[in-house]
Amino acid sequence: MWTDEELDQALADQPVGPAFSPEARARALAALREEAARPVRRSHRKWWVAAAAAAVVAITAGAAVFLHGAPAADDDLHVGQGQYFYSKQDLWTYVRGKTDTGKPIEAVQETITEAWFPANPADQYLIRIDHTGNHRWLAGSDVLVQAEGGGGILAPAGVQERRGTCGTSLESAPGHGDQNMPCDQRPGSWDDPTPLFIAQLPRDPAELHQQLYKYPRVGVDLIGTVTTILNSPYAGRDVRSALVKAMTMDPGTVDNGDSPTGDGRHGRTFTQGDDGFDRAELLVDPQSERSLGYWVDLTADDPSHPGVQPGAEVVSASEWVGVAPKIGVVPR
Amino acid sequence: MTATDEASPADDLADFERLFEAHAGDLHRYLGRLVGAMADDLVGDTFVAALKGRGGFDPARASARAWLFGIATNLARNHLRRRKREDAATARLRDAALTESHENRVVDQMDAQLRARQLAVAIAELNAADRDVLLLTSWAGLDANEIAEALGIPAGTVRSRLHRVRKHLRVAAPQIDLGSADVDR
Repeated sequence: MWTDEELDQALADQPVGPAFSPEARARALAALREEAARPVRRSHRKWWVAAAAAAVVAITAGAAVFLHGAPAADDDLHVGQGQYFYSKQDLWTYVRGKTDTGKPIEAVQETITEAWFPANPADQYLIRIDHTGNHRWLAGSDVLVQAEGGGGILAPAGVQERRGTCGTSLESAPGHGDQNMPCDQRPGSWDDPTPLFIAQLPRDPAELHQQLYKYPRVGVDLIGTVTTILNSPYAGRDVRSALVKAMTMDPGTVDNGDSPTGDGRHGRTFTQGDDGFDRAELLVDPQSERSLGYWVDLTADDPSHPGVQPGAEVVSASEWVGVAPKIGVVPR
Repeated sequence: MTATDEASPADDLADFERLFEAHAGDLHRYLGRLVGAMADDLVGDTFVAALKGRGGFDPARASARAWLFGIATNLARNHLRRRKREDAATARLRDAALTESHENRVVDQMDAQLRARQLAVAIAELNAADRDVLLLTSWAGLDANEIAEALGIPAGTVRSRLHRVRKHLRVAAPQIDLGSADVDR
């Protein structure tokens, strides 16, 4: 066991980030001034515009197939004793970098995350993360990176598993949460939606809207938060319904009504944060009000991303929920 | 500052430029350790988001510094989540520490680097709520009341969470086998 001093020293010894260059500082200030000058203030900063090697999410237009295999019951899923709430997300991640010779390379890669949450949160959950190795080059090729390097921007194929107790979402990890407290007493947060946190959320959409927007969230930042709750094992129909209504209360959200999905079903599509450059969309099952997926469309040219063309879907996350008979077993 | 809807755009900008001068550097140092080069973008995003959401800022309840760090933490968390955050953060921190370890041959420095690498893995395994409290304390230098304002949670929760997460790290981090941690990837 470390002493407090050793822990403090290890914290201090973590690598520092890059310096705040005058150019970066000027860009940040310019973004602020540009926003202040807008008559209608809307975000034009693209969260997915990543610095070198930072992985964000992208997929080329038309490549996403939303299967929407959620057992789309029009009522809450019932997870009986011994059964598991099953959640799956098929995510395509955008990465960019350079070859050793300085050539820009951009790609999208797939990660599939599955989770099994027990009927009793105090029992063990399982989260399985599969870096499938599937990828498509937007700029560059396998041949290029084999010859000139840079292939390290892609995650090596492989499967990781996390097991723990008191799991709340696909982001749960061992050691998380208030470990000295029983699962049902942990306060939680929007990003760690414990049973208590969800139980205490207001069911009035206006009040829920106020809590949701306590800190500015736009575009896919907002949608990511909403989907976490919508597909939570602990979110009943009442809170899901209130949350969808709360989201529509934001002036930046547009309800596009029913839209067809890849497998011929229909979902209710919401656009969030359309700023003339990109547009985030969330697809909600109209019966269960669970999230079926979300994505971001690139709507304009971005000179810094020549490999990503206007019209591309720059985020793609397909999502499913269901009830599994055993841990690690995919429901039929 | 007068971050209200009634303020004119010029007043808003002057206020926010003062905030930028006062806090941008600290925000960048904090974000840089969390997200690397992406901090360049997130600093700007933090101030843009603050400007857009200024109507919801109540100076009677929170300092501007805590408010900005709260927004920055939220943006960083979302960014990390999308890049499958634990994996990427672990790799970045671990790789950086590993590089440094090759450059240091003194035994105590090697021990320190080993601890730093173990801690990097342990931090990556924390959930976002615990990690935010730890790093806002250690890297941003916020006190419990400021973190409570930044994250919108009671100060008592901050203190208990910090105590618990530090105890957890002191116990768990030394047990991390870096060899097996690397193999997973």
